[in-house]
Amino acid sequence: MSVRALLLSIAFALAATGLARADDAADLAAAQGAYDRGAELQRADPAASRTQFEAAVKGFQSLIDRGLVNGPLLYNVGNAQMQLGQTGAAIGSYLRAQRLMPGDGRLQANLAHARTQVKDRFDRGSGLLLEDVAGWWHLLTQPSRWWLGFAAWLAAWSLVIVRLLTPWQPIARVFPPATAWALGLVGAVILATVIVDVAAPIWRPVGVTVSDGVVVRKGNGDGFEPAFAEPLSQGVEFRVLEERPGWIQIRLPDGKSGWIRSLQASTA
Amino acid sequence: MTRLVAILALLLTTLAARAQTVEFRMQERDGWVGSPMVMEVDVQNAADANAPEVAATPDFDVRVDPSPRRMEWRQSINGRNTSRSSLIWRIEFTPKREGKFPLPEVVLRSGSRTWRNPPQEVSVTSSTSNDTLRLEVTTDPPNPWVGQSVKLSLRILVRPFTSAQHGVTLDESQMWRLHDDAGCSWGILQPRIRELAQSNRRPAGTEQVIDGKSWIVYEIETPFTPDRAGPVSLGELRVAWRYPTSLTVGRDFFGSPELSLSGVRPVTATLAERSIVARALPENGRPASFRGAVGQFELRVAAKPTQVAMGDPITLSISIIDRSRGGEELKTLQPPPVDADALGDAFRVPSDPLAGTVDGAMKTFTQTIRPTTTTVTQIPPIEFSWFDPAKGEYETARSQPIDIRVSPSERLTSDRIESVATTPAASRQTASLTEVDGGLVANIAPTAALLRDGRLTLGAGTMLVFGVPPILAAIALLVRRRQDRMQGDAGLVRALRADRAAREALQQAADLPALCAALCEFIAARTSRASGTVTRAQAVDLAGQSGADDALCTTLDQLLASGERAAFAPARGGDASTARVQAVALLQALVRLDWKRRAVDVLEDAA
Repeated sequence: MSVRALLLSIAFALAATGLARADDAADLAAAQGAYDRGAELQRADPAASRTQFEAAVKGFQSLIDRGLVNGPLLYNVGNAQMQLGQTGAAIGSYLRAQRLMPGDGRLQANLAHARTQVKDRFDRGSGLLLEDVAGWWHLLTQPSRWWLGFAAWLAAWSLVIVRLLTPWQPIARVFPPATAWALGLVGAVILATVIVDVAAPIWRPVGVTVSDGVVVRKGNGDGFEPAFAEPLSQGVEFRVLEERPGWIQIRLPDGKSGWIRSLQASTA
Repeated sequence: MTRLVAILALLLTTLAARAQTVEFRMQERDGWVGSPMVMEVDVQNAADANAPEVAATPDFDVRVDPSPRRMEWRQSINGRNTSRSSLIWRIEFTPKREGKFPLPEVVLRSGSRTWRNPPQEVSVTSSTSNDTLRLEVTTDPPNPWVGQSVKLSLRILVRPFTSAQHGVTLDESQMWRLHDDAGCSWGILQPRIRELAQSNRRPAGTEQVIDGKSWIVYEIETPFTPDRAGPVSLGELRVAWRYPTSLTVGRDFFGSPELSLSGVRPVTATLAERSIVARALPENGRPASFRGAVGQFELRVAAKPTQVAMGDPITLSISIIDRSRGGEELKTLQPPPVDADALGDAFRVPSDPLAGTVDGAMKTFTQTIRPTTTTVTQIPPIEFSWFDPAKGEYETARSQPIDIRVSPSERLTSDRIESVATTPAASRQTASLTEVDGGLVANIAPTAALLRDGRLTLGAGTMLVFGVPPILAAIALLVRRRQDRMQGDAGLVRALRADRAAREALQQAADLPALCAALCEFIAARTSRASGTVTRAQAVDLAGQSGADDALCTTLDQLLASGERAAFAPARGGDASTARVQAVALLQALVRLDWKRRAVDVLEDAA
């Protein structure tokens, strides 16, 4: 490949990226515009309002499907779903947003509001949950913690390297070895909180029912008996224990477990 | 057969009995009063032994550790197994007085055998020494009055330790770390010490020359108010120090040299005499309104409202401002007399004691008084007396009379009571909004933040980024170790640089002997031999030992032989440029050999 061809390829790629970004921005503006119109028409014309909210969900969701997964966008999707009365789907979106922007006040408020709309409520079991422990570190956003931890880590090792390569007396006076240890420890703890956040969906996936009348069965098939006499309403949160084609095994907040159809749930 | 077994058993028993030994080990012969000296009684090859018995002595407090330490030792050399066991008792002798006296007898019994410790004399020194550690207490002013708030200072004087061997004098922060907190008793200063410890601080120390000697002076200050006349009790003030006797040089994690203590002796100092005497307040001239205040004060009195109906409350605020240097302990300051005697019959005054509030250097007492007559036009002056320690006499301040207007009391109608009761609270109070729970909060505005992928991934790239600093640190550690090693091993440096030095020597060699000398020097450097000591035969021999094949050895031998001949008969040296090419080729082959630094060569070099 000649240099000219290579440069042309790069130029095309950049242009394509720029165009794609322009499209994304336009779609985002359109989706937000639909949401705002829906909110405006909510009392005057509920049917038209509903159509606008559906367009907003579709618009936000198309951006997410293009890989633009971020907390604010998921939060906006959740809001539009709440306006449509899709409490379960909205809680699912809020839970996914929570992974990316934990500690956000608006998100916490809307998630709490959505949870009040759920018909079936379960008592949370006693004991300390990850959310209880993670509360303190969610005061800082994930990227902030990431850069802070990296800076502390880098500073600690830089100190160690400087101390190893330079005469010890002046450096030791200004930066005693405890400084490097302390910085390293702080960096490691901060980075551990980020790792826990990133790894949580993998080792501790959660989900929510997105439709009413979800029958919890004793096995992964319609042939299995229902595990409980009552079906679940939408918005019931659970932990995912196992996934099999078309079915997921869930554990409810009260500790009971069973299998439900994957299509009736959203996992985060 | 039975007889043979019996003889063997007897022999084994005898051997076992012979192997049992007892050793009385004393860790030191010199001790300090109050500091335990440790003796270890090591019973070797004993299955069991009773605890040592120590004879009663007036010179020591004796403590025998009830649980001995047991050690097992096994060795196997060429299939021959030997084993040994030890039972070690620990005895602490804590001297009660100074002087030289013998240790008490220690008796150890095991089975039918008895061991006694050899007679041993120890030297005990007093740990109280004014030459090393002193305490002083002062107050400002020196002889305070009873009730006067003063600044009390404890001065701890410690001689800075100097190690002549290492040329080091410990500074005040290092010396403070040697104070023995468990052995200290801070008396009246205990709250101040606790406060310093809780905020991770320590008393500041300064170096001062007192009586021609250098001392480190730590000063701890606390406010103090004597509550009775006479010598002031400051509680038990005792300071203990682990005073160093020697230092050693060690190395920290980074290999840097650092000093550490290798010997300490306990030193204590106490403050026995009561050097501060509080003066009693004079009886002469004591005003009737005096309530124990000592210092300099200012009195302010305010009344509100000043126009009231008879029987309605007037709030009287009496503020006393402390103007004295150092400050009076305002929490205990008593209010001036505000009672029927002071205000007269025109006011009704509650009999409850007044509790004031302290705000900085001001204490405010609030009293509610009610006029009992419409004829009263003034609140009489309030009088406050104190003792001024600067002047040594009592002072009295009187407030100005406060004019008031008292009207006859109104009789309220039921309509008016109702209208007062139904006055809307909102009209009198500031607005207070009530938050409404629930409901959705607005969307997040569409900004560039919504067009980014916010997911954080922890992939191989991330691991690499985080792995680079430790790897660089490991490389730095290796470089540091190599530098340290090379600094202390000139032979190694020479061996490592032998290749480059030989190439340069070959390039600069003008004749065949110089070429051969360069090769021999290379071999000498690589085998850690002294420069110029490797002969032709040794060079070939060393090359052979290092893995050179016969052809290489022969070529080397021939070249070196040519060099020797050329040295004695320059005309037979042949062409130097051809020989240089051959020597360079030889050097390349020699560099690839596995040269060993033999210990014997290193020793020869050293010799």
